Amino acid sequence: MVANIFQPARTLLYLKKYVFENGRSFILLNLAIAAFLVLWLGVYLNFTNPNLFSERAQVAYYFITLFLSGCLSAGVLFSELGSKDRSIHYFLIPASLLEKFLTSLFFAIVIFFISSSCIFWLVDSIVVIIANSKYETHWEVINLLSLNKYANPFFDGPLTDIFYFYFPAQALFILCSVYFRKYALFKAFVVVGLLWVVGVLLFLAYQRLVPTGMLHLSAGSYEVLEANGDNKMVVVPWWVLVSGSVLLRYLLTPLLLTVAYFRLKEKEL
Amino acid sequence: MISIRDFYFSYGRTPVFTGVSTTLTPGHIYGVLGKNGTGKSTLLYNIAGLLYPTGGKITVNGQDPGKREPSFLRDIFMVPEEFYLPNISIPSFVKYYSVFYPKFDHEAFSRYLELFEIPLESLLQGMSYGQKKKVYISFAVASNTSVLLMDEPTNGLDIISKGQLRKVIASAASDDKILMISSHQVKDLENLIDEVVILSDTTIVLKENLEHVSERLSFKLSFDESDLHGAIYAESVLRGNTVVMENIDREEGKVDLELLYKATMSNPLKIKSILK
Repeated sequence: MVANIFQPARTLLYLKKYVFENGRSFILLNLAIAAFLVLWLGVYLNFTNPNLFSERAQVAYYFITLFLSGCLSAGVLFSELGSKDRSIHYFLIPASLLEKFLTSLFFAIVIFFISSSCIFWLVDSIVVIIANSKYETHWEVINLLSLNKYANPFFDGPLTDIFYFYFPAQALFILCSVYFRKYALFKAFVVVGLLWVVGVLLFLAYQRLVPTGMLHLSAGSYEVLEANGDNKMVVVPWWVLVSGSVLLRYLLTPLLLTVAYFRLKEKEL
Repeated sequence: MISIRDFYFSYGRTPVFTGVSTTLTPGHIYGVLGKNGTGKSTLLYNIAGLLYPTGGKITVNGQDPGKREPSFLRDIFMVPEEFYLPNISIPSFVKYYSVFYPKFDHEAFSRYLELFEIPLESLLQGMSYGQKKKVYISFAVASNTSVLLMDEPTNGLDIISKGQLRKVIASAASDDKILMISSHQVKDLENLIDEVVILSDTTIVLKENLEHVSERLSFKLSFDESDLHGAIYAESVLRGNTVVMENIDREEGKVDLELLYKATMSNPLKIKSILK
């Protein structure tokens, strides 16, 4: 009896095949990230502003690099399905779709995250040493394993909260790479742009429809400001807040990846 | 066994198959013939689970191809017209891919490569399309799957290689296997197939055993004008005509696939009634 959904031994065989075939392109991708960082930070080394290498700036570079490289590589993860010969090859390899999908995700999400972080740390370490000797500063190389001790350059909140945006964004690009047959990466950017527009429109609608007041996100309440000073407080039920938070933080990525899996399952030539 | 029941398929609004039903049994090499665009590749893709029928049902050894389950995939191999091979060496290709096919025959694979005159240690990178195709076909046949589908396998092969291909395919035939070969080059399938499937106008116009065809129809070169009167199909050639006639005397003869194809396309009802 053949296990048709998941079989560890077969997954291992598929993983070996995947590594053997894609190892070179994966190494090239990481070298490209390193080259991008060397180019970018190398240009900054020629500027006279020593603050370009502060811990706060390094954190910003790390997340910008992660977002750019993570989303771009995710957007082409299933690009092989855009060509007939490679689709046939992919679909007819005798492994389950779950095994194939999980293998791709393992590399695109887990291994990529580790490798790109290592590469950033390596390049950043060298650049910060050079910057410190050039500007006579004492900036430290950021510790990627304890990011929350650094100031968040993007919004108020711990730095690790950025991952709640990064992983769903990467999952969205993976979904687009499965969903669209051709030019998936460009279409993914269009989708992100459209989502942005929808977000802006919703925000504008919210501003027009909701009475003037102040949102207290941490308390989950909205304070309606009255002209006579008799302000009213609208409290959102705790379960709505908790559900929304869990959904956005932990469920959005699995949800997008599940949609991608089922889309892949129904995909034809 | 491949069972096709009330099979419908269309690309958008263009129907390719409308209500096709047939059964393909092990122990035969089926030659699928048809003009360009009649759905030869589409039929093979549906059997392989790469496309889904818009109506009806296809089962292969009792399994639904569309589910693409490993138990199905390990027992079917398709050689598509456009195929992909990674840029690795042949030994590495065999090492990483043969493990998915439990009945893969390594010795047979080496034998086929030898027959095709391709060194076993070659790199796939830099090989010509024809050479790659030979490697792919060798691998496909050596995988020993119970269903082997080949879409235009002779495309890109030279005359010598076509002969070698014939030998390789013939050696793969056995009582427990179904081989389906599609081609628009009818001549390429001669002396290779034992069942013919002719596609036209969104359906299978003829599916017949060639032995039965040879019992009922005769194919000959005629220099006698009077033969034309009784011919089902005739075609003028240098100093005479090639004709397809009813084999009333049940004389033993060879089937000319090209003439059978042309005769079927020109008068399918007549051919069917004779072969009934």
